[in-house]
Amino acid sequence: MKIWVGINVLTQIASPVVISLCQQFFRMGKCYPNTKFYFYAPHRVSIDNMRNWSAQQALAQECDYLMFIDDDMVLHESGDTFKSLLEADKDIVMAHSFMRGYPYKPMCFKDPSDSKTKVVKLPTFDDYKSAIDENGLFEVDAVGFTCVLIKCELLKKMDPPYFVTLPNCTEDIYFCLRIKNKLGRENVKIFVDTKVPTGHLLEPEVISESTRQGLVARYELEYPPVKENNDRGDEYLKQLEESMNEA
Amino acid sequence: MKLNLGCGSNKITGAINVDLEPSCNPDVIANFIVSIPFRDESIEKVFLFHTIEHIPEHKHHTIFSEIWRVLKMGGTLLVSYPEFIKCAKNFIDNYKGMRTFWKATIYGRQLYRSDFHVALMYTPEFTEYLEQEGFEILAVRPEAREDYNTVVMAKKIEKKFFGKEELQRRLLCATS
Repeated sequence: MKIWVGINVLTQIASPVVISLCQQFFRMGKCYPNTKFYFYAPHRVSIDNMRNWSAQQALAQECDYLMFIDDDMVLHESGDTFKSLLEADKDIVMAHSFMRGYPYKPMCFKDPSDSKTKVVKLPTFDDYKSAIDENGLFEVDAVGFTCVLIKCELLKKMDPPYFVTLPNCTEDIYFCLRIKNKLGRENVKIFVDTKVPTGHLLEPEVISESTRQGLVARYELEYPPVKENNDRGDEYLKQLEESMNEA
Repeated sequence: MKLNLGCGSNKITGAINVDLEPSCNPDVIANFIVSIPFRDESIEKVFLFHTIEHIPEHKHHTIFSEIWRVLKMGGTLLVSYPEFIKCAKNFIDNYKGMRTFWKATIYGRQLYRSDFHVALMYTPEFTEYLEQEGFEILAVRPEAREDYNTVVMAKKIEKKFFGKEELQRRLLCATS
């Protein structure tokens, strides 16, 4: 078996991430001694270039899987993230993680419509807990590629570039949407593995399942949410006139 | 009498609520962008709350001319709108992590046909424009609860004489 591992590093990696990667790579070598791993961590390369080049090289080297790990991901302390993702045996499977920005939503997306063919609108899948199966997995329509394992068979069914950053869409979501729309929504299985949740580095905190609620509460205390105000009636007029009279 | 132009679902008690959309159940259904169905100098106050940004700029002259016509001399106009500079800055800064919200303050929520913002509202230009249309600016304030919105209070006065360039601009607006 051959695995291409692309790590998106701009300039440097924070120390918690280094430790988790060391643990991860040690376990990969120990559990899969006969597997060939290619590690690619280019310096100062844009994320879509890194991913596209990784995909092309994975195909050129006849790899079975392509794995991406972002440089701000603290992987599961067991070091078995790769093992768990591999055993899930899905087309695309991501280790469960959360977005870095408030309100720290899960990094997975699901189209709530019943359409069997085309994936169009993708809100985040907030209610994922009820969808987790007995294997600790739940199915979605797209994932962020913070820590993801992709079968190279999928790449063979697409033409490059595989990853393109658009104004309203990052390169990872673009890939998921494109492959789903090309092959049919039912024919591509994208899952999230909750057995090996990852932490997303916030500096200095790590956002994960256990820290998320506290971080949301702290953020909302410091920055009370702005509610969209559609009231332009009597109360609104009264406030305006009061503020004008104060002038 | 008071007029609440472009009321939508936000009615003001004691004012005549006017909108061109019948589903809002306004007091008067009228295309006030083209003409306001009231006599000259019959209105004491006009409210234009978060409406002007939904009207294309080349139609602003028509609507403010109409407002000027129906207002009594010294009558007041209250206009509120999202301040583009503040909304754009909040979008760029991803203020409070609400980039989608700030985008909507610039372009509108786009939930239905008229829910689009099509005029960029920039207070220094807008107040100068109102002065050209025959209004005296009484006060300019940010809204109390949402300071990225601006409120302008103005009073109807005699129109100032305008020169050749302004005349040409008005002729262009009238024919568009």
